[in-house]
Amino acid sequence: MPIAEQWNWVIFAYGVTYFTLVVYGASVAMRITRVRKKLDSES
Amino acid sequence: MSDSKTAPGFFRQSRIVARRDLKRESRHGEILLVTLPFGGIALLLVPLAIGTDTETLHRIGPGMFWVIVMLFGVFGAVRQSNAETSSQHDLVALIGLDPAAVFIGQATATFLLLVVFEVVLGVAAIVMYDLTPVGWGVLVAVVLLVAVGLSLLGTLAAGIASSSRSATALVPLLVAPMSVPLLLGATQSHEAIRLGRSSLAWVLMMTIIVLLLAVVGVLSARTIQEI
Amino acid sequence: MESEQKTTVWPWIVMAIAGLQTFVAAMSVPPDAVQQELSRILYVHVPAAWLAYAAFLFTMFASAMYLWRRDLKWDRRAMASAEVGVMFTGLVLALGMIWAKPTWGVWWTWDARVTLTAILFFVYLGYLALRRTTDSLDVRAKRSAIFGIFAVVQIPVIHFSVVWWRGLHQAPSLLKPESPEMDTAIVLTLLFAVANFTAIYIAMMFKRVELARLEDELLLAQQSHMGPVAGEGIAAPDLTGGS
Repeated sequence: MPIAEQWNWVIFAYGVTYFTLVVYGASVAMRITRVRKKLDSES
Repeated sequence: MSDSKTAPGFFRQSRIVARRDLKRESRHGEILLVTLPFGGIALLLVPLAIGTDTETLHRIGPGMFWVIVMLFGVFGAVRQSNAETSSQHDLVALIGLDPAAVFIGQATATFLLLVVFEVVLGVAAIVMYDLTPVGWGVLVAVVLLVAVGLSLLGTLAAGIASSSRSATALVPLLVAPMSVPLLLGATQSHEAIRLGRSSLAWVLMMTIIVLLLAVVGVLSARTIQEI
Repeated sequence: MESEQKTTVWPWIVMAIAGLQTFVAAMSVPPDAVQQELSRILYVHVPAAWLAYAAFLFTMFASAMYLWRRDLKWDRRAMASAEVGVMFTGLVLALGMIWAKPTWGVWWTWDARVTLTAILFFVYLGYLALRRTTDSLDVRAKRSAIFGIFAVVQIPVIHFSVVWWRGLHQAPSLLKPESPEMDTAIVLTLLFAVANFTAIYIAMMFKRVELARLEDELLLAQQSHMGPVAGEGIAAPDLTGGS
């Protein structure tokens, strides 16, 4: 397999990895903000 | 006649629970009139999708039979007729029945129903797929072991998911990955005999699994009852 | 009641640094002799696999701790590890496929490791589905913990049966992912990547547990607003003998 094509797969793999981590992390962060806001309004 | 002052023994309690469950099944016929035909239809659909030539059927027949047993048999443990309202559940707890005895009783009833399920479906598979089972002794052992294993798995999972909103959908999801060893044992023991090898190891593995499940079920019965 | 604890920022910083470090290391290390540039995929695939299993083990440990201590914080930790774990398991499977296709020409192989990882994925999903069945914190915790213990007993059995099954159907020796002797640079980079991913897991856990704690607080706060329940005025009889 030509080196260039290999790099395509590598970039794909790293893209998937970091995309997943960032999206999951961001969702947790957003949910924390949302819940804190709701808690403040409950008190 | 037992003295009215002493509680029934462990196995008598189990028998009472099992008889109750079987009576419920006889009234509603969920396994025999609904799940069994559904399994039969599944057996019918497979050749329609994959191919009806004898060679293909011989090759996939046994495997498909066991997969359908695993996937649909688990409904035996979570049948609607056996679902209890929370007040029925509390009543069983308050009566003072040993939770482990209740577990064994429920699993026994499911076991009996699953044996019937497997046998009837097995006959259907033999007919439709033109199968010739080999090693009848091992086959009987495997049918029984699968029935015991699935009933233990199913009763445990049903206890964990008890009276929850989506129990009927959830229990199969919980049980299916756990049933892989039983599936492998059933299919590989048949393969072994077909190739002239010994299937003892696979049967032994299944026996150990079943004993393990029984122990886990009995030990966790009291905690599950608290749920 | 307003949550007393401030929100922490260090986990995000740790995750960013760990992620960046891994990327730089993976891109700088010389390519493997046999697999060439494709070997770089292993620097995310292997750590993800390590964390997938480690997270699962922690979920089981935390489940046992909950059943022992009956402290809900252990239930939250078990759940957080399961959620982060299912993410890593999904990642392992995806990265495995991305690595397998150019290497062997197929997206999926049915060797023991891949099959077992897939089964683990479904066990995780079952665990998370089970948690959605109730709003009661105690019921949810008990259900999850028992299923957790149940799973940790069955998983070795499943592992054994699958490995045995695959042993009978000899997979071609080409299917060994790692070459028999690994270059020191590759091993070190791999370990470095595993360490970084572990840091990411720990940081992710901190935030996920924080979120779980806040959500539980919110649930309790909302439930307490519902007013007194009929029958609440009735207390247990006083049996201490004073009269």
